[in-house]
Amino acid sequence: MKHDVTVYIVDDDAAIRDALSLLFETCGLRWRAFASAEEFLASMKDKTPLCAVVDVCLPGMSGLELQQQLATKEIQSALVLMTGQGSVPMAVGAMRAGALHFIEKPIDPKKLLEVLDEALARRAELAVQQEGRHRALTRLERLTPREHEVLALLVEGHLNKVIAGRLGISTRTAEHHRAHIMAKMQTQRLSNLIYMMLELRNSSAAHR
Amino acid sequence: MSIASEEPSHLIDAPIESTLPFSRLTTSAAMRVALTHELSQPLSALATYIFAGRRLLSAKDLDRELLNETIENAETEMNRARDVLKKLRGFVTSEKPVRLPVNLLHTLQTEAAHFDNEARMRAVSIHVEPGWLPLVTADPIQIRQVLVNLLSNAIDAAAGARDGVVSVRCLYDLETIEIVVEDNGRGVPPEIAEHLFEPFQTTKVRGMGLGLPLSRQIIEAHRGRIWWERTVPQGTRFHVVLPLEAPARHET
Repeated sequence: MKHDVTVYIVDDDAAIRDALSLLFETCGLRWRAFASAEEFLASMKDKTPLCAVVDVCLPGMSGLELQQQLATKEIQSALVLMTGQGSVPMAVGAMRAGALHFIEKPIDPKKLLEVLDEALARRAELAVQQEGRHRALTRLERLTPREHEVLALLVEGHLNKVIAGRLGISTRTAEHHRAHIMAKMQTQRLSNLIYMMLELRNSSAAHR
Repeated sequence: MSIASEEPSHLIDAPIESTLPFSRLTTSAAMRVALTHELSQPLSALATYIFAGRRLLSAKDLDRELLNETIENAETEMNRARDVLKKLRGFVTSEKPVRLPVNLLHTLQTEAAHFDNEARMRAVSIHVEPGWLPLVTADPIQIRQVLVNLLSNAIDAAAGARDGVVSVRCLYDLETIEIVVEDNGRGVPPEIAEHLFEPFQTTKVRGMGLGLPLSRQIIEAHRGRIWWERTVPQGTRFHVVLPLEAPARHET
């Protein structure tokens, strides 16, 4: 497993932090370790999706609270939660909040690496999605107010003729706007455009 | 994901917050939770060190120093796990009593000095009132364990207060000595106040909740008494009273 991302370790037990960091080092992984969720959160400077191995049972902010805090700060995360007393309601709660991976303490290192691999793959996915959204947003900014109006109607599935009627412009002008929108959004197909817009809408809804 | 659990339902319902109100659990359930946690930590680290050590061995350039350090760390973790079991065994069975003359003021001063660094880092100051104290006949190791436990609890409590202070006083008369350990922390949470001397009751994330039960067992084996009270405006005061001559026979 070779990744150029950092795996964060959050555990208040110094020996576990030390052992995990050594393990990750032998796997060629970059790591950073924190003794508390608070310190970890304070060190987060940007909103790049992250991958972290987190003890559920921490003094102060718990691993589960950390997960919620990350979500509130709009930081997407692929977390491996280390549970001491694995209990079903807790697991279900965490799943609902979006965490994907669990490992029970005492840790089986081999299993941890497998789970971590999945979490890293998930993080990569999140990063690609985020990039896509950023790209789409930058492109959106280049649209004129009129083009925004046309886009909204396009996404609703209206034909050029209908759009023209709604906005009080000629069909030819509507076609013109549509061509500009497609060019600025860098896509040839209407279905791609609609997909892009839905993705953006979903992600901003998820953050609310 | 392996979250499936065969725990009885009262365990499943147990809250997982850092302040576990264990009083709602039965002692044996609480003991299992505490033990599982206390053993899980060192075993996790131990397994990881061994696994990583094996990877170090198979690396192209063998880093002997790092490997050696890793083995040492694994050993430390193994001892940590062993200490947990030792502590538990010490609680369950009482060993043959030892009775020697002990200077408890001296013990207190030595132990307080050991805690000095930790206390300072947590902005707590420890004061042991100087003076003189008659010798008591006691098991020096066991009694030290009690005093260490009281000091450590008091520091934990005081660390949560502004200007944390732990003060220790010793009193005596013709038959008994009394040790008073006081902190100005937030006090014993009401939900565990009644169960403070029962095993596996703890508000700490780390620790098994054996310190006070063990202390009481030791003090009672010395024919002494241990109790606590709340202080004003805030804080906790523990009293230990010991007879100057503790019988070595088991009379129970």
